Amino acid sequence: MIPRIALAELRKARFKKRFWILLIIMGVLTPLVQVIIAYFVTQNLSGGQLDQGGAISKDIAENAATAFSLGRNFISVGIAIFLLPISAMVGNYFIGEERGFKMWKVILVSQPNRLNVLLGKFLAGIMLLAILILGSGLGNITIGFLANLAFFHAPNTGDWGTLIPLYFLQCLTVTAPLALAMLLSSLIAAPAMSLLGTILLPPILEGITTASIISQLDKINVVNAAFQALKLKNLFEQVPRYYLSTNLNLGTSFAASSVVGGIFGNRGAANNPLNSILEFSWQNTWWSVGVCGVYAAIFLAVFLAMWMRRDVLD
Amino acid sequence: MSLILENISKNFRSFQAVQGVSFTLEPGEVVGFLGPNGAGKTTTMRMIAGLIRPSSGNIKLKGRMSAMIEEPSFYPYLSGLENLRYSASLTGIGENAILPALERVGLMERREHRVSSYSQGMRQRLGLARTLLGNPEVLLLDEPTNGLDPQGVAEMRELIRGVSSEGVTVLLSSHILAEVEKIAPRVIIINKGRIQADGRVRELFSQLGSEIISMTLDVPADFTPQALEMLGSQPWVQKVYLHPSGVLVLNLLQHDLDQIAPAMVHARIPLLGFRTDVESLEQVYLQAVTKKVQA
Repeated sequence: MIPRIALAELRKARFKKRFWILLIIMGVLTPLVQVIIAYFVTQNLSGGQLDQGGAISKDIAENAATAFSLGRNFISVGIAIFLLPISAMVGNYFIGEERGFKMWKVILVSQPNRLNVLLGKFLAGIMLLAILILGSGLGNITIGFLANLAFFHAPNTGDWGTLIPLYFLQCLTVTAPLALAMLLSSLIAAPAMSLLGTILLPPILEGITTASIISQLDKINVVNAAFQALKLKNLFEQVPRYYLSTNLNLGTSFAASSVVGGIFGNRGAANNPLNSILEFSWQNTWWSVGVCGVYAAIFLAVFLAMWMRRDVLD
Repeated sequence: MSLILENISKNFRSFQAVQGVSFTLEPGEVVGFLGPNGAGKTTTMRMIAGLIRPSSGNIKLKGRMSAMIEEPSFYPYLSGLENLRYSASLTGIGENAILPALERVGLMERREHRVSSYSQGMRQRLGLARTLLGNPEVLLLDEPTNGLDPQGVAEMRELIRGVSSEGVTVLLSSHILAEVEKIAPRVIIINKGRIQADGRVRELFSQLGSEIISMTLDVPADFTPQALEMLGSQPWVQKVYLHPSGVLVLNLLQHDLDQIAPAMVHARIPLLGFRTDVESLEQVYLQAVTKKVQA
């Protein structure tokens, strides 16, 4: 029942231009811009001021546009810009649109039951986000592969065994902002306000939480300075581990450790001074997935509870 | 029984929208659900459709129910066919039910067009096609003839008769009393959240119609404006209007019938002829909604 409703919702969503445009921006335009930049850099490096060591600079530029690099860049940096907005758009589409077109009175008529319809919509949201994320990733990798084949001829090597699972896990973390978007779309009539709420509410609340914790610290004096410093360190290391924003984007540390590892030659080795902060680990990745899962469960529970009691009057 | 409502009430905070409504619909029955604006018709229909939770009471439904509540809504960027396909998938109805439903309401030719390009009448017919998907046992139709031209109204009437003959129970709300009278042998009249009358039109007339009657007065054309003004100013006249045929039609209580002749004589308006009309749903309706609701 629920998968059938989700498929019906997805079939409907394919008529929405906005999702195709998003897919084109994320999966085609974003990698194309990187390829074009890399191409012009490699063309103009030779003999120019940028060409300090010749081969190294050219290597970096070429390697920035391989299939692996584009795939890695997108999951780390590229998608970071889009994660909250696309979740907000998808959540708003599946819930807010029903209000706009007065469709609740049609789709919430006794059969199928209300819970199935709402869970079907949530599942459809996850599926649509997965299509957008995985589709864009595939676009980035394909364009990188073709560009490399045509222009750069650099090896398409990289840690594919980490990159591919990251894409799939990323589809799980977006369930949290999706559930938040659906909840806010149900609460706020104006679509623009619910979109903004989904994008801005998590960082605002997290900022307020951090500020309130800091304000509760004792004033620093000669006696407690060391303890206060430890408390602060603990605050900035531990508290964000429970925030939605900091756990949402899984690829950041993967890309960072990959770049830092490139600079220091041996990622994870003791001679890497940024290792403790930027090292990628599956343990941290699964932690992030878990935290986002808890947020998703809370938002979804509130969303469902609200709708199960709600009278459809519009 | 297809549908049973047992003492249904709905409160919106302190406002009692529906109070103790009970009725039963038999299979294949077409029932007119009438009442002035704000009487509680749509709230009751929404409760039956599961859109609103009753504050108290029970609703028992046998079989599948389908509803068109107020004006039909669609996704305007989808075609008529895609809208029905979506609804069919949602309710688990096979795709093979879609085209016959479109055929039945005469929208086959426009099925691939976006709903945003549909006229009000076409939307109304598409809404009915959607409710007919999957052969429901109970149909709730709220103002189904809204926006339809006379031919569309006649077609809708035949369509409702057709589904009723197949054993589908129809609860039909409308403001066009003459239309309801043609389709629905039984009417339920609701006012201020309470059922005021429930039965066959003729039975109701014998119960309620003895008080309000409808009369047609024929006066010379030169005297029509004067007669209209004079009758309109009489406190015992419930309603008076000029019929397109040139005669005056007025509603009044039966015991005020003998006041007409003295009033016409006093105003020096010649009376060419008069007749009391046969019982109509309008009379029953007016009687039902104007009677005082007991607290």
